[in-house]
Amino acid sequence: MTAVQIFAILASTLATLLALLMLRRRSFRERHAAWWVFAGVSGVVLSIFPGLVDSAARLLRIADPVNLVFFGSTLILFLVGVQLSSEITSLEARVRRLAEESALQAERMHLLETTLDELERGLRRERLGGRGGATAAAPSKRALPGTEPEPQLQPGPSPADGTQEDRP
Amino acid sequence: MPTALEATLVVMPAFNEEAVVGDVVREVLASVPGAGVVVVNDGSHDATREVAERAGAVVLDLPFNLGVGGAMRTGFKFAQRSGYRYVVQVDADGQHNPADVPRIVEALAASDVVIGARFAGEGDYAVRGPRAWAMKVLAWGISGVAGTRLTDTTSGFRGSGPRAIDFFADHYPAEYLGDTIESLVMAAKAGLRIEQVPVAMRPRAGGVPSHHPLKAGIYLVRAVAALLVALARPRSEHILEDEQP
Repeated sequence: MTAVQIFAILASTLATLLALLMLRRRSFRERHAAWWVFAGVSGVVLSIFPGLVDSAARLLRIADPVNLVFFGSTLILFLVGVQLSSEITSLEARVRRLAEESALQAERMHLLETTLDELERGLRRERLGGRGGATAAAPSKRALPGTEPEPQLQPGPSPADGTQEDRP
Repeated sequence: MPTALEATLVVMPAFNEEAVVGDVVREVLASVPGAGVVVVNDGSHDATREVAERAGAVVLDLPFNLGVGGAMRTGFKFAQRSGYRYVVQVDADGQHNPADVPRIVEALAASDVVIGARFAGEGDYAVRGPRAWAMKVLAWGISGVAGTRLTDTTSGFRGSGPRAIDFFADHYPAEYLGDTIESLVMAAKAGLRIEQVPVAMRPRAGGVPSHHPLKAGIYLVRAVAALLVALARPRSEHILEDEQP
């Protein structure tokens, strides 16, 4: 066993261990780890039995066996790159959908809070003034989405309760 | 039954537009009576949100910048959930004249997507060089898929009818130029009817379009690439892009 071979075995063993460790610590999901574990184990096997590379190269009529190794490793890196690009794309699409939903929910919540505020103010007025239900609980001008099929006017900055509040 | 304008939502994507968005909102509210106005604040770092709210618009606040495509899809979802029948996209920088909105809504009675086209006879908006070539190539390519003659496919002034709202609420591309080029190609492939209405553009309240030849050349290449990619993509079924088959 030559020094180069020992170095190769050590390097590929370390790479495999790193991949397994990451998998164990849940830093990788299985489908990402699979590529690296496969590459690492192949590295270990091929550096222990270099004859395998030589015969495979002869079978494929590749003059220099080391080219087969380069080809194999480039192919794995390429496939991993493609997989990562595709997953990033789908993650971005999900993040985008969440961002859009969050904006819509925030607006809905704002609308609910405004409506609730107005209802509470109306109730308090009713209790203080004791004037019956006529002026109580003037709801927001804009209907809640989903509760009203027809769109309403958007709310202005101030709801129409200022005039009533002035009266004692 | 509400009138067409009362069933209309004007959507304005806005990114750092505090200087102009207030005036544009007030102008839209004044010239499109009864319509809803929603400003989609696309992750601005300035007071866009406050200014738009004070002017009387509903504000949808995106947590970070998604680009015009993301902002518009948010607007389409809002319109869909609130029951609006028409959506008209108007730029927050004031280069679109809100007085043209009723004409776009009128045209939506017959078409699903209506583009406010800048070179179709009105106004004196002109471009030259590679940017003009890019617009010609795009207009030619998209007219082909859409089956009608379109002259200005990169206009951000456009209206969508009920079928287009349902389609765009799920599928509105966020990529570079996706909000103009790809969205039209997708709509055409989905069988939506596209039409254009001539409008006049006003000078932008801030900034001028770039006429630097190198930048315009890069724009040409990217626009043609975006068109080719859009044409090559299959018709969108009801699969969202993050659901891998």
